Amino acid sequence: MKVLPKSLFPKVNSVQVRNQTLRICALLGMVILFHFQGFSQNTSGNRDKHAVQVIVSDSVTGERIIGAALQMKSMGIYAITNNEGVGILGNVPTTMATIDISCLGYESQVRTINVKGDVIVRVKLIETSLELKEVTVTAKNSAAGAATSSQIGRQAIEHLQANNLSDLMQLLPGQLMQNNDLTTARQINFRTAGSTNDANNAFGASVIMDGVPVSNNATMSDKISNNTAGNGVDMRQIGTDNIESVEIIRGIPSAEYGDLTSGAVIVKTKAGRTPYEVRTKVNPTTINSSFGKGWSLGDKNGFLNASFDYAQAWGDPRTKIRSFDRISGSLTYTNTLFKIVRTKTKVNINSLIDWMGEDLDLIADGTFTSQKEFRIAVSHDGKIPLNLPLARTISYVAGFSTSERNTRTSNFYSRTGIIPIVNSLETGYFEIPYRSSSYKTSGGAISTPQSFYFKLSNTFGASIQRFTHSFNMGLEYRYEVNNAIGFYNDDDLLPLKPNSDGRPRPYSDIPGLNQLSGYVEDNMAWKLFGMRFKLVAGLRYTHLQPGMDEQVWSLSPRINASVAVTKWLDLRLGYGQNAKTPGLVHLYPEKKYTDKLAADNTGAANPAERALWYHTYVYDVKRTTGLKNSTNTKYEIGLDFKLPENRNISIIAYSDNTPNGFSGLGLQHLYTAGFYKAGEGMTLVPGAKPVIDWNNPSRVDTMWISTGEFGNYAWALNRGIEFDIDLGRVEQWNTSFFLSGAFMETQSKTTAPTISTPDNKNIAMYPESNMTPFKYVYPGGINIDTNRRFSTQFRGVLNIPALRMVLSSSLQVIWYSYDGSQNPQRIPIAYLLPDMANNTVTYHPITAEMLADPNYTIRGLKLSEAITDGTDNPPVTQPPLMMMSTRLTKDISKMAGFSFFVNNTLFYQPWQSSSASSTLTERNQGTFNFGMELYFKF
Amino acid sequence: MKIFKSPFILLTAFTVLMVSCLDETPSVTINRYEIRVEMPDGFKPDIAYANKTIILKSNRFSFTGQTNEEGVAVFTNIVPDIYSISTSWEIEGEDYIEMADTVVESRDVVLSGSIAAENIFAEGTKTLSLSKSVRQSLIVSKVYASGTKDNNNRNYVSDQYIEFFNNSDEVVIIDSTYYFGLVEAESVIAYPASKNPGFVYARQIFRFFDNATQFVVQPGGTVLVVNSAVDHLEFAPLSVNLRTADFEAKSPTFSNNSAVRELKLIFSAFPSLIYMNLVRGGENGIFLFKTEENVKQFPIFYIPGRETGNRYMQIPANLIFDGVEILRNKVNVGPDVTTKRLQSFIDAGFMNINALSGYTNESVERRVDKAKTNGTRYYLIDTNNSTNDMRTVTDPTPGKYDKALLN
Repeated sequence: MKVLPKSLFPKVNSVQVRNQTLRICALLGMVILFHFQGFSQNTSGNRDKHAVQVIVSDSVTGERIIGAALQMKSMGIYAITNNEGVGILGNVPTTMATIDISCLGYESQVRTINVKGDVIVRVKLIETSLELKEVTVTAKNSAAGAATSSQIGRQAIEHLQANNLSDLMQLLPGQLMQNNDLTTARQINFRTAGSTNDANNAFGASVIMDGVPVSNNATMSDKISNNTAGNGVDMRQIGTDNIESVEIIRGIPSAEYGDLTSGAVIVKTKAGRTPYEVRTKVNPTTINSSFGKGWSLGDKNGFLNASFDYAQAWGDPRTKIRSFDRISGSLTYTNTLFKIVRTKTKVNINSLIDWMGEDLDLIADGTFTSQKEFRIAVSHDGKIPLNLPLARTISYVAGFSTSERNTRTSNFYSRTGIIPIVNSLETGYFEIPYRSSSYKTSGGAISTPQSFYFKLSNTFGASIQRFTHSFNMGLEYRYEVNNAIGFYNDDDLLPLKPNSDGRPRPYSDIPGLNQLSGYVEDNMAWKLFGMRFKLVAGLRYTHLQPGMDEQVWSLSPRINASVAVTKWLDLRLGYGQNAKTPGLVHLYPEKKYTDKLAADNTGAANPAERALWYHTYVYDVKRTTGLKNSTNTKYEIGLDFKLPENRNISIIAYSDNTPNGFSGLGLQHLYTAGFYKAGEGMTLVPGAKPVIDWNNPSRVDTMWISTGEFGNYAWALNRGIEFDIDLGRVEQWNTSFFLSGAFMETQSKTTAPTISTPDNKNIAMYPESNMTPFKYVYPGGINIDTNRRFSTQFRGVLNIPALRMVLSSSLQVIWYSYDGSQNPQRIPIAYLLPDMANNTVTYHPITAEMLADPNYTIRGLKLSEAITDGTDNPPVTQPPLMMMSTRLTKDISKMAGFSFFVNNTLFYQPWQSSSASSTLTERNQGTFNFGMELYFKF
Repeated sequence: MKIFKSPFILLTAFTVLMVSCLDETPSVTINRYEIRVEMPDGFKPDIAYANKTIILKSNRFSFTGQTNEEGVAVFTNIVPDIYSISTSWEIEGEDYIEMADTVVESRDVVLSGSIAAENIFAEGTKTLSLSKSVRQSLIVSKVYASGTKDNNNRNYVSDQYIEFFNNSDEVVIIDSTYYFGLVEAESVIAYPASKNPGFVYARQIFRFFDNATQFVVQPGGTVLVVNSAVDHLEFAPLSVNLRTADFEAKSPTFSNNSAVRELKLIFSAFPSLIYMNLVRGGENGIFLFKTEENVKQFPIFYIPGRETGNRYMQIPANLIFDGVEILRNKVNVGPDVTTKRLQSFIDAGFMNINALSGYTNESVERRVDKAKTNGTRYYLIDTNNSTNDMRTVTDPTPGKYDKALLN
């Protein structure tokens, strides 16, 4: 039998996309080459080299600060303050440069200096505290010219009382406020207006912890529950109490970040000296406690940070049928070797337990599902300030993680009718066991995704003519594999899934994923006609499974640009392509098993005569060849207004198109199987099982199956306008005001042609739906789902330094929400006929003449009946909906404090009707929640 | 407090408290409401629907009244509500000859009439038109769709069945012209009887034979059609033994008994459902019909106003000789009589099981006509009004009619 040719499926313009990419890359290359004539002489140059000595001390005590990071990004120069609190940025050319100074527990500072000779810069860092006039409990937008992102600091995380990383998403413009629920997997979506998780968007979100990606590429389907295979990383595994800062990039990321489409979350955990810190967060569904401390081990011995986190959650305290436990701990050791090489070594351990079972108040019958995951991640990174012209700072990151996810379940299997237990792993007829009613079953799945990651990068900068260049380039390698036994039954005669999806599937026969990447990026700045220009232009190359049949590669150019048109207005532009490589679950799908009744005498009165035969057909996909990376193209244009008194307005319009996300392919395949019944191939034998004459079936059925391969046919377009306005601080009220929001639209469709069974009423002729004489092919991509939303959040942040208190209130209004689907008339473009004589499926186009003839029939069925009118349902729009939340953080003393929050403070749950129905439904349901956090620092 | 030491006062207070908690019938009632019954064509002008029972039934209240000599029933002091109105009159063949305005055959007939939902909130008069149907031999006598719980207390529906009964004194020979069907069961009714007077729309049609084979049903005999002709008591303690079934809908979904005849599926709105699609909770209008036409060629239609989705077969109502309407019981409101798919001359009433979604061993079974039943055989009540003719029992047993609730 043959598989329907893939040529039937359109190529989704992958060739055009690739050609366009190459053209852009070539153009970019030519510009850079032209510009860099004479580059070497300028960088190795004859210019003077200066030393910038930075002395960092505490603003209150005057004590020198050890381990503060100094970064001159424009030159790619990096240093760490030594035991004297002194860091030296060497070989700095004569230039105007900015230095970023940051240290754990202190407010970061940026200093701009004019370097004409050796300079000494004294910096007094201010300890982060609620006593400060400026307290940041919201996300801060990135500056123009950089990737559109939100920076979320420690104070914002604490004020939000986030207990996992996904909670932070609500601080982004256009994102809705949410309760933290840890009992189901939490994935993040970027810039989507729909209310459900978009698997491709979540899979394309990269989460990078201390430089090492947390990947889902080697996660396989466990066939049982709570699966994240082909989906986003489950954010519940990442607690927030040990996080120093998070950068959420929703725009065009730096070329440094790869294997992503929708966005990136860059997490930096605490490293350095910190006080003992004990925190406990409590709300009706969650308890989260943590402990952390950063020790200074002495002048030359660096710092050791330890953290421990325990969270327990249950969905509804009245019916405890779901629970989640998280225990995590980490040890981080940082030290400066040879006085200049900054290293960080980290060991992180995570244990997650998901449990679902019966309410404890019910009579226990032993049914439950649990998923225990244990993960160890080890990482080591370092920065070597070589200070050579073409290698200012060499950085490296190595990471290894291994986890074991052990899913166990015990339940009763029941279904309508007889339960055939088909375990055969080969094609053929088999007499099989069966059950006539429910049975208790148990089993599970073991998955052990492992990942190795290494990255080497180099940064250096140069000033050429009026241009300042900062280069960032690097190489990445990652290997991801899963060698576990996968899905299993405790007893194969009592299987968890007695159907085609229930066959055991060891992951050990699946090869690992090798991924090689390289990138180069230039961060340019120059002045022209009195205007400041910034351009970040980068190129990234990604190659998965090099040398193998299923290899895929992508070239991703990315540009972020800005121009300061006036002192108060920046214009920003961006264009970028991103690529997400397929995971193991996409590249190596399981064999396709199809089981069909062959003969049945289970209803015989005499048990000795009862028997059941099934035919099993096995289609071995082996590997998905021809699958491409899921690619994404982003465009952005924005305006940043700088207003007096630190007020500012940022508006960004974006378009984010993923035309080739991963989806089922729907390839068709044929096989035949016989059916036998009493007197027609099956001879009843008194006192014994019937005898089957396999050569003389009652009938032979031609069966159509889809093969289970993956393709690139999920299309999604996210576009909209985001705005973020800092309305400034009203001193009399000690209050700052912010307004953010977004108009977002998400469109999605499947571009693969739809293969449909013709609608027939002659059921006796085709007793099963997959036994049809032919199939229609309808064009793909005509059904489009559209979601739109316009929402705003108005925040007031009251900060009274004297009271060491911050009170914030957020008023969220969803002004407009739209949910529509476009299902136009469907006209078949072809039909498929089984050609069993030649062992294949034949493709027959349907012409206009055939469609014009109302009596044209195909295999006895009227073609006109295959044309279906559109069923555009009227779009559903909802009336505006308001919600308010309130948060309070208060330091009781230097050593202790508390936070408190109430979501949906006004308990506003109005009964409203949508445009589609006059039925009143209660809105804002499940949004009310409250909780508090106590913390001690000593 | 001295006052609370008085037993009388305490008792009074307790009584007042308790009375205040009683669910009283509203005090406002309708003083007078008339139902005027109109005889169908074909009867002499002086024949009136006299001295017959009229039933008013809402989800909360039920009233009965007798018609006077003019065929008018007067109800007094009834509670305002939405009521179904129904009545029926069985006329023996010999009496029918006397009453008819022309020469007619001596056949038992049933006069019946019903109104599904009538708003009775004020005094008034309503005319109830009767329809006539010839009393049939083969009738639907048991419908067991609810299913039960298996040995593990899990849901079990393999034991669903329908039983037909020969209520006449003559042999009925079932051949290839006999069919039965199940009405469409869309969650939002697609083809209400009130809007489709000439037709019934079926989700499934089964035929007893597609060749010259015949099946003889003796007077008082039954025809048992099942999805799986096995002894279900092996798997579910409250189930039934269906080994004696006469017909089995063969499908891979259920265990099949090779010794039982195959029930032929003629049409199914759902290609994957090739067994009897009996819905556990209700929406099981079942009708018997007889025709020599090629039923496979009967037209099928999408739900009105739609061009995609499920399609249902249109069966001319005049072919149908018996039917039973089983509606779904709904939370707080009970069965919705506006969802009747069978015309009143097929079934002027309706039945329902008490459970909302089944697995409760509930079977809808026809009552025994005690007046006619003798020591040799059973006769069942057939007034073309299942509300009157049938009861819901929890001991489904094919062929068994000596049950208290049925007698």
